[in-house]
Order: sequence, then structure tokens, then C-alpha cells
Amino acid sequence: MISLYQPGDTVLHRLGAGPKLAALLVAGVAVTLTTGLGWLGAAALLALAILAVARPPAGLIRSQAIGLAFVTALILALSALAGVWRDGVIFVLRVVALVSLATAVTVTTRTSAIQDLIEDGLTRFGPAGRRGAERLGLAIALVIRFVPELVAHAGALDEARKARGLKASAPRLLVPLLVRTLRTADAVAEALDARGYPGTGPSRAPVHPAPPTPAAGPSSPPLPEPRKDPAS
Amino acid sequence: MHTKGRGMPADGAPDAPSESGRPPPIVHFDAVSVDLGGATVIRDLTLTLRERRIGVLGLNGSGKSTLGRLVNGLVTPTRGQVTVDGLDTAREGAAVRRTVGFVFQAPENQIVLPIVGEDVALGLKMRGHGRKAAEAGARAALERFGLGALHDRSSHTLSGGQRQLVALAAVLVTEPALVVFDEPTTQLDLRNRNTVARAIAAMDAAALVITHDLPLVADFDRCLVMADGGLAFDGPPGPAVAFYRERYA
Repeated sequence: MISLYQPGDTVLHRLGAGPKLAALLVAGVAVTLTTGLGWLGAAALLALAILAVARPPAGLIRSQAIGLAFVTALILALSALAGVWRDGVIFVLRVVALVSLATAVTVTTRTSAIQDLIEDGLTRFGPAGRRGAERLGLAIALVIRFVPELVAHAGALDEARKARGLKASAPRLLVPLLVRTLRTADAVAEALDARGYPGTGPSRAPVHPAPPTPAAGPSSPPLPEPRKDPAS
Repeated sequence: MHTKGRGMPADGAPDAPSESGRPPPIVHFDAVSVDLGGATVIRDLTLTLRERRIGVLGLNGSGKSTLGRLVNGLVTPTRGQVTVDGLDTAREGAAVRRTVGFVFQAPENQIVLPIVGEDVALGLKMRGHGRKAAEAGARAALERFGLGALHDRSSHTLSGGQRQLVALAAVLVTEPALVVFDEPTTQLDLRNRNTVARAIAAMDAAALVITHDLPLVADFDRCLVMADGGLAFDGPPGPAVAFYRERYA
């Protein structure tokens, strides 16, 4: 789960997050309830056309198409073997339509716009709703922001394991990843404190108040020299 | 909105230190000690800071980072008191953090939102600016710092130098009177290190820079050398760096 938003000036970029998400919901229900192959084929083509309007990056389309092609080929093969090929085609057309529409929405909608939409919705429930909305919105944004970082951490740990010639094992990856994730969470909380995020106290006791530099040098001598002040 | 600040040119063009702006806030440490994790990391420190550019040197574990966190109220004294322009960091932390910004050593943890523009706008939203005003302010701040091209970029795709500059822009957009930097150049290559150094020099806000990068503090007004939670040296940067080299090299 990462932010797939791509800046642009298409009609979909200019459309508000609310209408886009509502349209996605309606389309999802309609495509799920429809069983006619002609209608579903038209829906899939229309969804692909809408996706083209969003002008997603080629790399994103390529990676999604590869995954989608694998799944749809598998479904078609299994449904043909089971003698229910029509059901397989219906499933594939639904998936193509929905994935295309969802991609068009995520590529053209900022995380903050979705966050604002959630906050606006919950704010109607009064001050408690407003506070909850702010926290929920921030929580969603943090998840989207830090999932790629955690994936990168996991990759770095696995690379370090390989470099040391160790066999792969879940504890070898998960334990340091958990520790690193907790440290990251602590650092992010501290950064939010520092930036004045409301609702945080005047101070939290940090888990690691003075993180060592990567190029760790010798530690301090046990006794410092007396203070010197040449100006005085 | 802050409009006077000089830019942080992305191309690394030199930028002269600012002489204008507000007077630096007065930070006062009154017999401050800090115990963390069973150890005393700051020992009975009494100190007044009022200069525009202050460097803090010291070996790892000497108490430099804790000193910086005390100024912003991220760490509060176990004994004694820290004030910023008369505001007690332990009791008036929110007000202190409106005066003192903080740039962390690892900016990837400081940039908390997925898109650069959203993250820079966050600080303004948290200070009560409306969405439109915050977004406009963030865009203007990024443009001013030569980072306009990064406005719509995903935060996790930034390079190390870009992250440090975006983190700085996200702090400066809220117009703090003082910015604490915790080892701002440690993870940077030479080009990005120089860009960050110029950005610090060009700020209107005062700066307290914790660093192992000795040339960075060469033009500063004052330099502290920390050792074992206390002050080992306090004076101009030249003698301070000479003391540090002689004592610890």
C-alpha cells in the first residue's frame, strides 16, 4: 500500500475525491450485480478508457497488467477445466473493470484529499468526531507513508543476512524488523511532537534520546575538562 | 507567511548569511540535569544562549542531542529548568514548539505524509491554517527554497539530500524563531552537505546546530563542546574546534 498519486491536470485530477469515490462505489455495485457478458465487456472497456484519461505512468500499468494477466489466465484456465468458462470470463471482466477504475481514482487523488473527505465526514459528529477524524486521517496517511519504508527495511535486513551467508528464517527477519519498526514509530512520534502535533504532551520519554551516528566513534571520556571560556 | 527568507537554491549556488530578521530567542538552562534510562545524560548545566548561530560539538554520547531536545521540549529536565524567551519547556511545551523548530538527523522519519507538499502543509494546518491557505503556503515555501519541483513527489522517493531540505522547509514554513538541527549533514554526500550548509547560513531564523561536521560551524557566533553531559568548552568556533581536535582527535 503506497501512494500511487501522480500529479496531472486531467479532468479526473480536477474532479473532487468525493464524487470519484462515490462513482467507484456505484460502479462496483453495478458491476458485481451485472451478469451479462455484453454489459460487462462494455464496462471493462469503459473502465480502461477512463484509466487512459487518468494518464497513469507506463511502469505502473505494466506492473499491474503483469499481475492481472497472471490471475486472469489462471481463473480462465481453471474455469475452462471445470466447464464453467462463462463464469470465468464474467469474473475476469469484473476484475479488469474494477481494478482499472480503482487505479484511475488512486492515480488522480491525493492522499490528503481522501484524508480531508474522511475528516469532513466524521466532523459532522461534533468535537469528538473532529478529534477522531484528525487522528484517523493522520493514521491512514502514516500507514501509506511508511509501508514503503518498512518494505525497504525488510529488504535491507534480508540483504544483510545474505551478505553474512546466513540461511533465511522468519525470526532472523521478523525480530530485527519489529525492533526497527518500533524505533521508527518512536522517531515518528517524536517528530510529530517536535512539529507541534496537537494532543501530544509537553514531552515524551524517548526510547533512544540520543541516537548514535552511523559512523560511531569513541564514546565520551569519563571526566570532562573544566569549562573554558576564552571570552571571559 | 514568511516572505523575507532567502532561498535554498537546489543548484547549490552560494547564498550569503542573513543579517536581518527577528532577534534570536533567549534560551536559558538553569542547573539542568537529565536522567534517562538510569543514566545521567546532562549534569547540572547552567547556560544562556542568545546568539544567531550556535554550534554544538562533542563525541557520541556526550549529551549533544539531549541538549537540543531540551531546547524544543522533546526532553524535559529531571532537575532544573529550561526556558525559551521565558517559556518553560516543561510546562509550556506547545508554545515552545511554536518558537523552536527541530530538524532530525534522520529526516525520513520527520517527513510523515506521503506527498511532499502535503507534509510541508501539515505544519501550517496544525497551527490552525485552513486547508487552502496551508496548501498555498506549502507550495510557496517549496518554491522559495528551490524545491518546487518536489511538491507532488512521493516522500519515499526523495534522495537523502532532498529529504533533509524538505524536512527543513517543513520546519521553516511555520516561521520558528530558532531551529535546532541534530547532525544535519551526517548522512549526506558532499554536494548535499554543502547545499544544507548554505541553507542554514541563509536562514533568517536562529540556528542551534549539533554536529560532527567541524567546517560547518566555522562561521558561527558561538560553539559549545559537550563532554559527559556537561560543557567542556564554550567560546568562538575557532578555539572551540581547536580544543575539540586537541582533546579528542
